[in-house]
Amino acid sequence: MGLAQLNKINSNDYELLQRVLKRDSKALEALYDKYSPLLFTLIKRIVKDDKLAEEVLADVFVIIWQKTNFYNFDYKNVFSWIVLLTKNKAVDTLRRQNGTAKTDYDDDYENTFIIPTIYDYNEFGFDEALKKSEQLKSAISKLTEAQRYVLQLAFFEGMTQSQIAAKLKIPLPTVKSKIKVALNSLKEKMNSEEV
Amino acid sequence: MDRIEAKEYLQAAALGCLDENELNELKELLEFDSELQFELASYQTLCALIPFSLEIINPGDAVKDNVALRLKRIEEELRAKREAELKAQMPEVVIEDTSEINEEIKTEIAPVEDLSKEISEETLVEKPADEIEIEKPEVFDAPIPESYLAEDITKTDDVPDISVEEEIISEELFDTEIAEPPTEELKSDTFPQQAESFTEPEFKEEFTEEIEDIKYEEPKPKETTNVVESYAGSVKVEHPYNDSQFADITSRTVAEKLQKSFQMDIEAIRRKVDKSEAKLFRSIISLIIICAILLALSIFLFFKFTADIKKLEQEIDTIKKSNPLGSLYQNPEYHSKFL
Repeated sequence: MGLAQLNKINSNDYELLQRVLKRDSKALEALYDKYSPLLFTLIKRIVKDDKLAEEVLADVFVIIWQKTNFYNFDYKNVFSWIVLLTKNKAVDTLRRQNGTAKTDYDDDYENTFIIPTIYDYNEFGFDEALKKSEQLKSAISKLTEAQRYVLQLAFFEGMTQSQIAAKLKIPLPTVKSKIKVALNSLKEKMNSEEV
Repeated sequence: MDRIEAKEYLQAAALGCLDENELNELKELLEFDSELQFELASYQTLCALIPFSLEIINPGDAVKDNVALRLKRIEEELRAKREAELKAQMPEVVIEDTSEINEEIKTEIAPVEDLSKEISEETLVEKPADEIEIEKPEVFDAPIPESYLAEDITKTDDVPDISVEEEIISEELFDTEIAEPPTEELKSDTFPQQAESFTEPEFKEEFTEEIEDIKYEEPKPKETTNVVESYAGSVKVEHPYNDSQFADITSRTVAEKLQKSFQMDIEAIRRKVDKSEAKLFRSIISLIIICAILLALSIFLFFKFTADIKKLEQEIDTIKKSNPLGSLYQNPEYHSKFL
């Protein structure tokens, strides 16, 4: 399923998530049909294993089904909530696979570190994100290689700032500033692409 | 961590590369800072778009099936948990062994069966009594006024004498019956009649008394009442079951048996009522008989006295005829002289 196919699924993600909260399995299925290709791609990129990626994808939808009540319905950015939840889950799986996870995985941990807190009042779903996907690709291509690498280590490799510093053998403040600059420039380029 | 420092962490927080301590500190600040929240949201949206930079891969239908299966299992587990919680919340219903109750009910039913036999026997005893009680007041030919039957038996003082006398003291009866029988015949007939009239009621009374004695002497009716009381007691007060066992009445079999016991109680009461009605009827009949006897006696005495009076009058006439003074009375002149 490509991006064109993803675009065919038209329904408000916020409403779908509200229906999931009311134990509507059809709504969850609609969310799965819409998000699963993007999420599976993301997970596979992080864990680098097809079967594990499938397991994690299933885990993600189980979390969505069971813990929809953790989503603050005052905010309407469902896309960010689902993608960041998937990214956190995949990164945690990777860390546990690598043996770098310090804390045991339990409900509290999941609620605090896997389920993200989103503070966006603007309605932002899969359709809106898909519209911005080309802009993002263009903006990323305009970043420096170092900036891209830092973003890759932070986002896809699941490394913390101190781990990146250790890997790159550079001081932690330098890593912090590099991450800050990379993301700010991406934001700027996105805005410039939009204009 | 202060607010300015927190701003430096927002990008790293959006990318998810903060250490646990840094993330917790930032979350504390974010709770009450809407500006920080707004800024973080913009970075979060940006980071969430990053996966679009990758080549999208379809996970396949098997993954969807796997997700569906896992969700189904989770739902089943949740249901089981809820049921377990509900069961835990519900007060424990102790299903006690009702066999004891059933046995006791059975044992209580058994004598009732015997009682039915006894009752049937009793009815057999009562039947000849009814036959005996078919009394024929025609022997006395005395009309029984309807008012006797209608009125209350307890008011016996006011009822009999007046009405009976009124009917007897009619001129027709007086004339015909006095004219026909000769005095000698009356003498000869009255005594056997008297004997009959005295013996017959005694005979009847003895019979009725005997029947009544049989009924009262028999301990069986008393047993029936005892059993009925014990039955009622088993349900209401004197039962040996405790309260927890009593809750087992909700079970259908026990309830049915109790219903049967109630029905038996009702039947026993009905039998009692029937008995008392029969007694009442018998006493009414006996009262009527007594009244009839009294009436017959009064008639007999009346005839006897009237016959005696007639006899005396005839004697007076014969004496008058034989006595010469009688003619003087007939002559007014002598009469006046005499006076």
